[in-house]
Amino acid sequence: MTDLLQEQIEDYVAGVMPQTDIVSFEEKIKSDTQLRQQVIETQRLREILLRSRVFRQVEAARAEISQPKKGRELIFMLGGFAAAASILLFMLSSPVMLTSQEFNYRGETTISQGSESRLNDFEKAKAIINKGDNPQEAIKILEKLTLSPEISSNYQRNSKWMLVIAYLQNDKTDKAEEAFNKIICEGIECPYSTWEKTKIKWQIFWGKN
Amino acid sequence: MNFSLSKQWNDEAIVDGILTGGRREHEALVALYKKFHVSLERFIMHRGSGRDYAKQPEDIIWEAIEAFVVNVKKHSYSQKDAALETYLKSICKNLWFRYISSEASRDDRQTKYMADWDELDDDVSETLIEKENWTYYIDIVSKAGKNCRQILDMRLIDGFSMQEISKILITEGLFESDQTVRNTKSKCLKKVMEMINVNF
Repeated sequence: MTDLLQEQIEDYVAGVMPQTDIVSFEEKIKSDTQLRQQVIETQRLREILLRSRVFRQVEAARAEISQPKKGRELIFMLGGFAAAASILLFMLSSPVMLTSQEFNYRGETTISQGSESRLNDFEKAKAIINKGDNPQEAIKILEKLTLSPEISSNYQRNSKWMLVIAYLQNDKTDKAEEAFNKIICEGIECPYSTWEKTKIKWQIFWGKN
Repeated sequence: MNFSLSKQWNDEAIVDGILTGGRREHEALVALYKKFHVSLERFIMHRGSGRDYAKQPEDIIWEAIEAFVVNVKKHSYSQKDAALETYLKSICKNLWFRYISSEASRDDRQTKYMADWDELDDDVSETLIEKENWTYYIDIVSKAGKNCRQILDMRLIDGFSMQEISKILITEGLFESDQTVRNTKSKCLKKVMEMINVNF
């Protein structure tokens, strides 16, 4: 087959053959079996190429449609993490409040004058810390109470706990850490929750860095 | 958002975009999907049998879009025949029934699904029947080199002359001379034709 005939076949199949040449070319096709076969095969190739191109275009559109969804999922996931982290940090950084705890005075039904005085000091310190405006005063009371051999271990421990909070309120992080490490409090006997302990540790860490 | 999408991409604009090709065609296909996928998905789901199938309505919608684009390119879709949505639904319905009936037993096929089978326009039916056969040949062509496919695409689909093709490809730095482009095209055409004709 000549190059010219091949070019004519391609022009005809691609639909770019001049209108004036189409009639004579179609006459040729009718009379020439081999040429007719060539045209049919080229038409088939064109159809395959066309479908191949359409397939690629549709796949590209489909990929674009599904891609932003993945992006959105990632944004939602990262946003979720960021929101959860922010809430956690906010909660950890908020001021530590005293947990309402009931302590027994060694099961005594009547209390001595000394015990009553220490109890009053304890309650006064508690009120100051809850108010949060004069931690220095609370520290003075609680430092004395934690060293007193007269009070029970429960009371001592709770005084130390309040002292840690008072130190934190007074920005004395090192002292708060020292006092916190002295609190021996493990297992189900411990009146403080893991959350409360984590919060104290976090505020000590935050104050030191 | 939906209002502006449907305003900008009406049926006519989508068909024009597909015929323009390139980036515009890509945008038209994305718009086509966004505009109709909710109603098409509902349409397909409504005709489900409640069973879980490997092929999802989403796959059927994209197959329908592919069949539709082929018909647009071959100028066998006319807006006078049917609105775009109706036309797509018709393709989806038949693709879906074809799929689920191939999955179901012969008895089920005849009693359950075929009862709801609509007669299609000839060109749509033909497109669907041909679909599986063409996939094999598309695969053959995709295995030909990128340059080979590009030259054949430009020559037989876009209708560029060999001089025009040479000019473009030399400018893009893919070929050095007119003769190398022509030689590549001849070799490529011969090779692809042989591969297709052996299997056709």
